[in-house]
Amino acid sequence: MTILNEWKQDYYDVWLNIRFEFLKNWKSKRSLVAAGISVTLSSLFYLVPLLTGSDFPTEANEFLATSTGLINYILLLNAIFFGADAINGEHHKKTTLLIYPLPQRRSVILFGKFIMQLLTSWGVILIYYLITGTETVLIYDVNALTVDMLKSILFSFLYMGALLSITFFLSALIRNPAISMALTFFFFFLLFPTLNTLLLMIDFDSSWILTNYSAFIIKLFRFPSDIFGPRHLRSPDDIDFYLGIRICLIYTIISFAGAWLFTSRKEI
Amino acid sequence: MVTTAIETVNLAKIFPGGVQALNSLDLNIRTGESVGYLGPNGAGKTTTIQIFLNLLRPSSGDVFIFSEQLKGQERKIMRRIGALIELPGFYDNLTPNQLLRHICRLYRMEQGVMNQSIKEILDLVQLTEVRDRSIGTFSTGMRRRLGIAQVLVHDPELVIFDEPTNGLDPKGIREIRDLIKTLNKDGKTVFMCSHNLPEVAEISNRVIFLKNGNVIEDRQMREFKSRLSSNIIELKFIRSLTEKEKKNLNSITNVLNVVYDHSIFIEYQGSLDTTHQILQDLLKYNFPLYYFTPRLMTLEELYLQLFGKEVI
Ligand SMILES: Nc1ncnc2c1ncn2[C@@H]1O[C@H](COP(=O)(O)OP(=O)(O)OP(=O)(O)O)[C@@H](O)[C@H]1O
Ligand SMILES: [Mg+2]
Repeated sequence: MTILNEWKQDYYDVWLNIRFEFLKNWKSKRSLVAAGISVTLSSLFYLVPLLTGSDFPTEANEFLATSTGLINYILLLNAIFFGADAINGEHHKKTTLLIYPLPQRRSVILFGKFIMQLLTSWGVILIYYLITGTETVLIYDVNALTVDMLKSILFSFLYMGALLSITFFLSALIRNPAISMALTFFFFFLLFPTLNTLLLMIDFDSSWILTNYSAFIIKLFRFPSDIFGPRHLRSPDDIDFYLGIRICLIYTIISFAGAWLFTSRKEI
Repeated sequence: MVTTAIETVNLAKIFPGGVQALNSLDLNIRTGESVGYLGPNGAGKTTTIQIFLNLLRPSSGDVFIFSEQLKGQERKIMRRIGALIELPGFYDNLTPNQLLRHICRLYRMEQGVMNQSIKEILDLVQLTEVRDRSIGTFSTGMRRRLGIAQVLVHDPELVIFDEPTNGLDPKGIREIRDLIKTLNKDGKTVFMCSHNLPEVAEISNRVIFLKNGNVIEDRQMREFKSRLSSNIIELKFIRSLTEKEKKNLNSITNVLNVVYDHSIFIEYQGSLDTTHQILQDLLKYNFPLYYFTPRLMTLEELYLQLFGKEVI
């Protein structure tokens, strides 16, 4: 009974922390900037051809593939904005001295933070898709929006979870927010892609490398699948969609566990 | 009923890197006490309270708060404590009102109680007018007062302060000291770190001196104050004293203690007659005396004696 009661308290504390994080995000410039960038980038693909008088691609999927090509940057930006200093930023600003002695577990703070930052990131991503979707309807027609759009969104969301989880981990591991931000960049722009190239060179399995799967977000449009269709994309360098989902979830869970471990074990 | 508010048993803390900040510390603070926890920089004061507040883990030993083991019951115990550690960060985008609401909810205060409590506490620390302004615009003094509000908003039984008046102007210092005295009068247990002696002498009814992670004095303030009423005579001689003269100096009747510094201080207890007697003895032994100034001993001097020269 007492354990059950403890859990109930914890759930409520997580909820309070989600609210608290929402309030902080709501009033922070970062969310505004992230949303602004999302709006700007997604509008470019509509406004630039319109203003320069050039033609849109003939195929809607081509338009979608080009447009969603920039989502990768939005994802990384979200990770940096909402994850890279999530834990060590609190140490840095000495707010841990305020919130840690309050009657709540540290893990509760971590969960609340992660959930809210993930929701915020999803919001930013959704803005991008909404605008791109609207543009597609305007240029082509409603039928241009297929289930691939939903799959792409779903995959962006999952991929975002993995990114955010890794940045949370780095943020819990490393004391200095500037360094953890730099490392986030390094991981996703340099380390993962380089590793992938090397592995391909020596013909070693590289299907576990997360960044390989970010291409899904675009590929879904470039090589459209049938509705609820075959598991595999009809593409030359075929990657399994469901494997992508699994890989994302595995990265999310393992990194989050790491972040959890470090936040609750590390002092102050 | 008097019970134990804080108890530590063999508490030790060694930081990674080997700094031994606390060394087998045994404290016993009773409910209703107002304790001043004094010590020079690096003595281990902040480390001690960070352990109480679950910010640091002890290397060995136990902490009991309200007779319950801290380890494993942190959340339950923290509900009864309010603490201000140095100057914490506050979320600059938020307002005092928003921050305090979050804190009250964590303490499970009901809406009505919460509103009332926040209103009262903001009045008390004089932040009512700025309760909806971003904390980012606050001065150090305002931040510290917000810190005090956060300590008290849930009406804790035990309050812990680390250097509560640091960085405040004289008026601010006066207000905070008066407030802490009131808290203790109202029955709250107070544990306050400080290296400000007059502050502790004024606020606390018990004083614990810490040095290099060890308690070197633990006294009731009144007992201490009797030593404070010790007299002191500052002496200067035209040359340094020989060993024999030093021995003679120590053996003069009524002299309790001799401290050799830039001058020589002798500590004694008694009336003007005693002072007169000491002067006569000094002359009788033919000391090469040229300066003789009797006065009351200050807490600083007592501190100097206890801690050597690394003062305040
Ligand atoms: N995180 C840490 N890592 C390593 N050593 C530390 C750490 N925190 C404190 N120390 C060391 O532990 C000792 C005690 O520090 P503490 O902050 O408790 O002293 P203090 O009595 O509060 O001093 P002050 O009056 O300066 O605030 C010091 O030698 C300090 O350098
Ligand atoms: Mg300190």
